[in-house]
Amino acid sequence: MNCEKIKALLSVYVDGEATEKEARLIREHIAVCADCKQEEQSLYRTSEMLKHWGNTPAPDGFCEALLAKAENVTRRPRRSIIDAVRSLAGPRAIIRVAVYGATVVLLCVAVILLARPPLRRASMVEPLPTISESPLQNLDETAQGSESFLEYTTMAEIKVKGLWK
Amino acid sequence: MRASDEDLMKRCREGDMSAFELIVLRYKDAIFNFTYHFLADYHRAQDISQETFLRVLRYADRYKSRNSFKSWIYRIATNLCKNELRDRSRHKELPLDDPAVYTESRYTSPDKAYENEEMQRLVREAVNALPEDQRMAIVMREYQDMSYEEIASALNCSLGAVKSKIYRARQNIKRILIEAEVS
Repeated sequence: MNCEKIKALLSVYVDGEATEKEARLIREHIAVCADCKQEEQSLYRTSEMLKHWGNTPAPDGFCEALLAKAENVTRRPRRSIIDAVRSLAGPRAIIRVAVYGATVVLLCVAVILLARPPLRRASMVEPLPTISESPLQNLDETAQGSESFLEYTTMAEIKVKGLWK
Repeated sequence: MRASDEDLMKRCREGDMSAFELIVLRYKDAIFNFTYHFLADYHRAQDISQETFLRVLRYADRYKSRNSFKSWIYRIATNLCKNELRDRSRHKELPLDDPAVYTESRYTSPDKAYENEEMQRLVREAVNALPEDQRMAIVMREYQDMSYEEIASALNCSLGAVKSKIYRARQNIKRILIEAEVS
């Protein structure tokens, strides 16, 4: 391992958190590398310096004041999703969410309807062919004027035509 | 036999206030120290550590006994400290004088006491100058004697991230102290 890798591991090593293999490699390296040995000593010194800001016990009366406050604490059980929604904006949140939801649905429906192609007006529709009193009369005329009877009629019409004749 | 934290929490959930009291006695100094070292403000540390315990009681039902109680309580304290720092930066508040610096003097000689106070001030400033995540990790390691695994669990991050935070924190502290010509 090179010095860079060793230095990165030294902090873990001085905390006693290095693996056995890492610790062995570090020990072997710092035995021959003055620079890394110095880095190790420096880390121990820094740790020592930090200890100057020693531990301070909790102030007198801490427990008494805390337990007095604790008497007024209401425990909050695990919340359901409905409770979580309710807590977001007060007790009327569910009604609000329902109203907002309905509004969104209505808006979506409106958008879908508007996006559809417009209906054609009656004046734009081609006029239907006039139908004579007998529905078979037109069919008969068409058949007579054509070269091929089969070109203009369906099988059903042929049958009807046959009956008509 | 000493009851485990998990057993005490179970009793807490059933409304046993004596179990809560035992938890407070067990963790009050540790949590106070953590908040104090993190916030560097004696008075606010007192409020925040009390609030930590009140939340333990309030949310006792949410604690899952398969997780470490220690990590859970530190996570609560950590979140409260973060909120406090956010509020402090928003309102540009500075911590009040620290009574702990002046009350805890183990040195008989005035020179030694002064030297210690001065050193304590420098270290406090160096720790305070660290980025939030590095400060948390180093405070947990140096002042709470927590293992890397416990720190990872309390900070909700990987073991590798903890190693990196502590390494960087030490490098930064060293640099700050060298700049102050004490290292």
